[in-house]
Amino acid sequence: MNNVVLKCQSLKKTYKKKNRKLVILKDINYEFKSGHVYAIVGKSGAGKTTLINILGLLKKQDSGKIFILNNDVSKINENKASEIRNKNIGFVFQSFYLDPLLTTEENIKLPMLLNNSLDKIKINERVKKLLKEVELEDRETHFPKELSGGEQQRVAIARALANNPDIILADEPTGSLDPENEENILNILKSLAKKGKCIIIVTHSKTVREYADIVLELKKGILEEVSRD
Amino acid sequence: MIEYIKTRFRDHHKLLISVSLLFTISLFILIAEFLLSYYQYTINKTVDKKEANRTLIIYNVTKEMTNQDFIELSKIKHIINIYEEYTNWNLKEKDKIFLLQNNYNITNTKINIGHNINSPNEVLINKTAANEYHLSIDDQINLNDKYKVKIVGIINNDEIPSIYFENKALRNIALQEQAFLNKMNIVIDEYQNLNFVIKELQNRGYEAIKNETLDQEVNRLEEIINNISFGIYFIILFTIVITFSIFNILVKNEIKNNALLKLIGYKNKNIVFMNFIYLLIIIIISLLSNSVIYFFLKLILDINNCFTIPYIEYLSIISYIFLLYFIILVIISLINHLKLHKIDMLNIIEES
Repeated sequence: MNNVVLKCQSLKKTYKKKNRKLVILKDINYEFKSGHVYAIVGKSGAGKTTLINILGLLKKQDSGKIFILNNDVSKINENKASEIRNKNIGFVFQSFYLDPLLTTEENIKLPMLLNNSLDKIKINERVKKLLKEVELEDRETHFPKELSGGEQQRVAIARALANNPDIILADEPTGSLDPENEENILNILKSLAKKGKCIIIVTHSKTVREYADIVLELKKGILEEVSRD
Repeated sequence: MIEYIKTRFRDHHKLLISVSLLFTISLFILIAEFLLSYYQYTINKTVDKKEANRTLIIYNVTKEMTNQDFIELSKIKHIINIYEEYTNWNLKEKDKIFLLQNNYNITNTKINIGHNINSPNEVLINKTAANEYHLSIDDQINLNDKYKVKIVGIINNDEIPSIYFENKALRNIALQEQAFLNKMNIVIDEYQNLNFVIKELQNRGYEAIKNETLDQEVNRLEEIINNISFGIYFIILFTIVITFSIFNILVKNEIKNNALLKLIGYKNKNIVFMNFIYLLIIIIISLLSNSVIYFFLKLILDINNCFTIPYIEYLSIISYIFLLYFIILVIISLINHLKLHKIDMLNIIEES
């Protein structure tokens, strides 16, 4: 617990638009620790999604370094990035994004199919454990369209946890849920943090701010800790 | 990965539409090829029916034909036989006059009594000659007091009393008698090769004339074949465009899933491979459905003695179609691979 799992050092990202340079991330320096829920807030266009993209190794920064579990991953190739995403990072989105052709069980299994250390029996055991964790044991064979929004988000969380990653990146995970389901999802994420995960949530929601252990604001390309209020 | 590919087939609508489209396109090609084969078959049948349509009559106008010439001409590509259809001259035995003919085209089935010619001294006669001159099997005929021949068979072929000689024997007699050896019939393998043979003969100093008995009909059929061939090029072009579009749509349709797969750690090559296998299975299903239709139709048409494409020809056509689909699939997969390098995963997913 409280180990640094994700570290950014002088991260910089600019976009070029019609010969104009747009600085999105100016100088991001931060250490994300296990066992915490982080809420990243900021105005629209502040660069929150760009930051999530870079932290999730989906985009390359212009300069600066990223360390995941003390390993420098700033200059790794696409294949290596895929491997790290599969093993160390879980993603959760506002629109859940589950594969509509897969059942709850299969959606959760999906990241595990790449994990050579898991055989079929272990995968099934793990799926059952995850389903229990998100309280969806009775929805195993349901397709996404047969589930409510809250249930779909719980499936997405279970999928994000499939390979037991250290970091969960969530982009507005409660954005399309009613208050009751929002609370449920945040409780699950909070409990995951208690189990040692590092939860990073990009949000506009006040409730999420209240649930987070640390609130970070992205303003003018700089990431700063702010109060929860 | 196989497990994931299997789940793609749960989208029955997509599967049905893509299989139906590929099936229909391949069916178009098959129908065109069927028509082509049918008209080719009709031409061959028409040509085969009348032997004359495959023959040339050559006139030796510049030089006298020798046996050596005869051998040389036989070596020309596409010529399968050279013969004197009939000599238009005759030989006498006492007061009996016979038209001398070649035994080309006389098969055992045409012989009413006796057997076919086995040696140069053996001949066949027709029924008219046998009745008129009271001749029968094993009788000897001494033509012009020079050529002793033995009757070995009687055929019902002609109304003029005729003697049918073996090819070489007739030519030797003709040479000695200085008959009209300058008029020969040449049979070639395919009607379509006539022009080539005519040119070859002209190069050797002979005048060659095409027998045009069925020329018009064959020309008409050939015109149809040319039109169908042109149609096939058009269909193939159409196939390439449509198949490319279908595959492209199918791959684009999967882009959100691909983005998700990439996001959760699948490598580009894994994703391309899964899409490739998925589309390959669709191709195989559409071609197999096509084969089922083919075998079913063949069964019905064979029972009714109608023309069908033979199995081997069908297999070669279906292999070409498969190859065509496969090449397009490989191109699409390469494009997909390049696109996957550039996709903005999070944006694609959030847009959905």
